[in-house]
Amino acid sequence: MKTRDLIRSLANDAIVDAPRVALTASAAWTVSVVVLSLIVGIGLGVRPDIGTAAAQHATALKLVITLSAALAGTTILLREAEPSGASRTYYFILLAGPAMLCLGIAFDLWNLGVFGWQSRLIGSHGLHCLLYIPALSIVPLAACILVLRTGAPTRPRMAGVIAGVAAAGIGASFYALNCTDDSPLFVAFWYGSATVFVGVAGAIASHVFARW
Amino acid sequence: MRVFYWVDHHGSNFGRLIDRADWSGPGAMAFPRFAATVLPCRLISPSPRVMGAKNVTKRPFEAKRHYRSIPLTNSDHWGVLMRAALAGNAVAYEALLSELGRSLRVYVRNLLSRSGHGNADVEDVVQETLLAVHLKRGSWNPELPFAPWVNAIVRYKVIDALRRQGRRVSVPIDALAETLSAPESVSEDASDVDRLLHRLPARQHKIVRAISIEGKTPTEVGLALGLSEGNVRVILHRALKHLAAGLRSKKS
Repeated sequence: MKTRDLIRSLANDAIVDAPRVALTASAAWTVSVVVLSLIVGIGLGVRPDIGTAAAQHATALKLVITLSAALAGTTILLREAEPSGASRTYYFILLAGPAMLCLGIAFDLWNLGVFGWQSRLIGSHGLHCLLYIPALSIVPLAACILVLRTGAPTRPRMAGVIAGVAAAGIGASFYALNCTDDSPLFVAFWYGSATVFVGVAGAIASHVFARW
Repeated sequence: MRVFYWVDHHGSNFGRLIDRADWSGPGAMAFPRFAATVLPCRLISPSPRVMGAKNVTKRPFEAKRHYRSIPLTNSDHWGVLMRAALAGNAVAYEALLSELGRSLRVYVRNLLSRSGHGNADVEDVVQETLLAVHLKRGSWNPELPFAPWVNAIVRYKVIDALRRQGRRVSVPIDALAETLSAPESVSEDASDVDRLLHRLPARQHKIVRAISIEGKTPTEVGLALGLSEGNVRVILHRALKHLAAGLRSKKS
């Protein structure tokens, strides 16, 4: 078929599929939050000492960091899902979480001293964390890839990494309710590694499923 | 045949398409005094920046990128055509697609020759890209310029297609002269679209053939097949989606 002929049939097709990226994204958030609340509420459980002040402060810090990753990831994901919106200028909002984490680490080292930093970094449930954060991220990641499928990402792998960061942020926010290791060093190492895993998974998933 | 002119307003990036019929003959409109340039639609009008507009995008960070990275064109008159097309103007849409096709052909041919490929697959890449532009046009925000959007799509699709062809046996070219012009390749080889067309369900195949190759309108096709016009359009849309999916999953 000649290109001229193809154009004739394209011109006769007046149906425009409007991608509803923002709508899909909000649906994705809703589904993820409901599913993860059920998993944490029924299966995994909230940490037993959540009532104490120290635990509340530590959990709040973790939540602020993970939620900022989730929100920044989602914001950039919405831009990456559209062809002309893929400007790298806004990526710096992803640094909000790590910046707060650095402040937390500095505060931790100042308060408790450098001595024993290795044991605080390794913590007591590191592997548990490395297993559960990716597991909890599966549903949000699937939802984020669905958002990319709805749109038209022109850099699928980069968009997949961003989807992974957003999903890991959501997953880690829920895991933080269960996690009893409070040191920012622990959060940086184990949560960070888990996020890297989910980011890589997101890149692969996006390459496979979000092509158009 | 109707001829449209693109009229740039002086000193801004606003402009509009004007039908030549409105300027001549009985009851003609006065020649627009405000026009700084009047260009036939076929030509590429100067960029808004040349015309004196300071900032053409709403997003401050993207204003610069917009002009630096455009392989295809530097004005928004395609945007005007696309806006008309989204409002239901099929003539404007066909004009836009053929202009895009022509630019794309040059672009793809240059890319292919630079990467040491032959000219054989140019038309396939052009067709696949046009299909993608067509099916994804809903993701363009009509308030923004058209060029950044179409360039993002084109770059993605062309790179995707070239990567797929990288696995094929490709014929390296010996002479650079082969890459120079010849507006439409007249090769009679079956294109990828042709091959996929045979795999479509019978009704979709018939409708696409009738509209594109035999040049019928959806109404005529509907009468011939005993379907309503709306039905024909829905089936056509579905067929085009299938074609795009087939091209995407095409293996070497």
